[in-house]
Amino acid sequence: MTTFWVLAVVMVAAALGLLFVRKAVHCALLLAVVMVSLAVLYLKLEAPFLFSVQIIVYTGAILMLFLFVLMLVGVDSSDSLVETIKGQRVFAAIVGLLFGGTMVAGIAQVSVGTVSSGLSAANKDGNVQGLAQILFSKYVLAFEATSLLLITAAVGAMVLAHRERLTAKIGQAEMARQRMRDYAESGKPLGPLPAPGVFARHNATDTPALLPDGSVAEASISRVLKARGTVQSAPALADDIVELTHDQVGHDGPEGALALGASAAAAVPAAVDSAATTPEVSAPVATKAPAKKATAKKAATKQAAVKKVAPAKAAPAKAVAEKAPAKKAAPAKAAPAKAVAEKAPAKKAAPAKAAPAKKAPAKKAPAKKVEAATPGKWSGSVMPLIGGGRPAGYDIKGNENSMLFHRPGGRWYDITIAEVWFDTAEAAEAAGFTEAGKRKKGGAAK
Amino acid sequence: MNPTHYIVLSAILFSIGAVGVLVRRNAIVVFMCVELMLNASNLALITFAKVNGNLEGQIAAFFVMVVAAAEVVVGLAIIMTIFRTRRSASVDDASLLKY
Repeated sequence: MTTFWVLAVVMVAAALGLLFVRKAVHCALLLAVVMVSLAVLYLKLEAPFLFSVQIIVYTGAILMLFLFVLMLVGVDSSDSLVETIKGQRVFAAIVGLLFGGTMVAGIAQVSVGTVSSGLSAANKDGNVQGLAQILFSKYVLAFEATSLLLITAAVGAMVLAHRERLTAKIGQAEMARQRMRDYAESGKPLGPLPAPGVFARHNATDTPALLPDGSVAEASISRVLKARGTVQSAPALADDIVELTHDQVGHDGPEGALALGASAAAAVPAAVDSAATTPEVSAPVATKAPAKKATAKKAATKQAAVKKVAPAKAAPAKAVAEKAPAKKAAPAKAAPAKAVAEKAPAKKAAPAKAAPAKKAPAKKAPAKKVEAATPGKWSGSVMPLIGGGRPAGYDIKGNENSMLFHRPGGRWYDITIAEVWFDTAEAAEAAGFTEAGKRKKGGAAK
Repeated sequence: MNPTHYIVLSAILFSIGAVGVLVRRNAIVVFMCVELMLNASNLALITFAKVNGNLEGQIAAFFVMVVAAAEVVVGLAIIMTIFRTRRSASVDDASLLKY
């Protein structure tokens, strides 16, 4: 009898949990508890065949089917607590209590009967044999009917679950074409999405990759993680990142700084680039870059010159760096400083109004620009500098493949690699280019 | 053993299942509550088989299980179809016949 009482308590508790638990998966697990407990009671009631059927068919097959459907529908699906019919919950509880109370009271009043000899006589050849005897003689018609029922159920489930394909399957060629079209129309990157956790020290997939300017690459994290709110926030990571870049640049020297800058034509602008990007980094880079330049010149008085020049330049560079944290600085004003600002990899960093900034790039950069600005195919256009740099006075980026041009500050300006530079938007239009984003949908340039 | 205890337990489980069908909104959970009711009835049938000393009650429980299996298969297929068209497994959302 102890088995019964223990199982009865467990079963009623689990069944009540079915009413109150919010997640459907938990409901399924509670139902499994009830079913297995019932199976044990069947064993106590001398029904070993139904004990195994209860476990194998009910708990094993039917409940797993429930779980499969739950996974298809969405594991997170849980009931809304909004009552669509007012007072329905209370009313249902009252009705349930009345129903249960009436039944229990009724059962208590009648005599269910007492167990005299049990099933020992019926089970004398074995429970399965006894059941088979009845099933295939007295209930054989009902048994045939169940076979019909099962076939109908199987066919019905197949019909209901089947989905007719209405459109042709998308093949690899179509996907590739669609991808190119997306790229031409909206600038969606052709390559794979950036991988998460480039600077990760935690679980990599929940840490977004960071762009060179320290901002978060949204595309690098799964949107499921974002929806769950388990993504590490960028400000929380920012401190470490500054330290990390500091280490990296410190070891790599000017070459590392070159790699950091987006399109560095000269060592000095590159140094200022990284200064604008990561404030603390600037000091080591700025001192090293001029030093290298000076040695390259191979001046007769090089040793003395380096020693004089290097500290002198480090100071202005630092001044720049201090202004850099104001990330959304105004666009550059002073002409030489402008060149520096536009080379910064990020859209935002441009500490150009500071007078000291002039000093660093002014020495060498202008000379380089003038020598490399070869005229382009169209009037008012020039070819890019060696290394992809921007020629002075030409702000508009042109893309020869898509025949689009981009104004500074435009949506895709920074990601576009210019094949040709224009001085004005009018010149670009005259050359047959269209402004990116202005084109009508579907009118892809062929 | 007193068979009344088993029958009372079966009645309690059946009532809980019935309340669950009325209260829950998720179609799959409603289905689970129906299963609970079927199981409760099976318990009563098997208890009666023991009381009466013959196996007919167990045969009845066996048929209930077969029907339950068929019902679950079709029912879950219907829930899947509704979910596919309406993106929801809530019983409140399937109210198209009302209008």
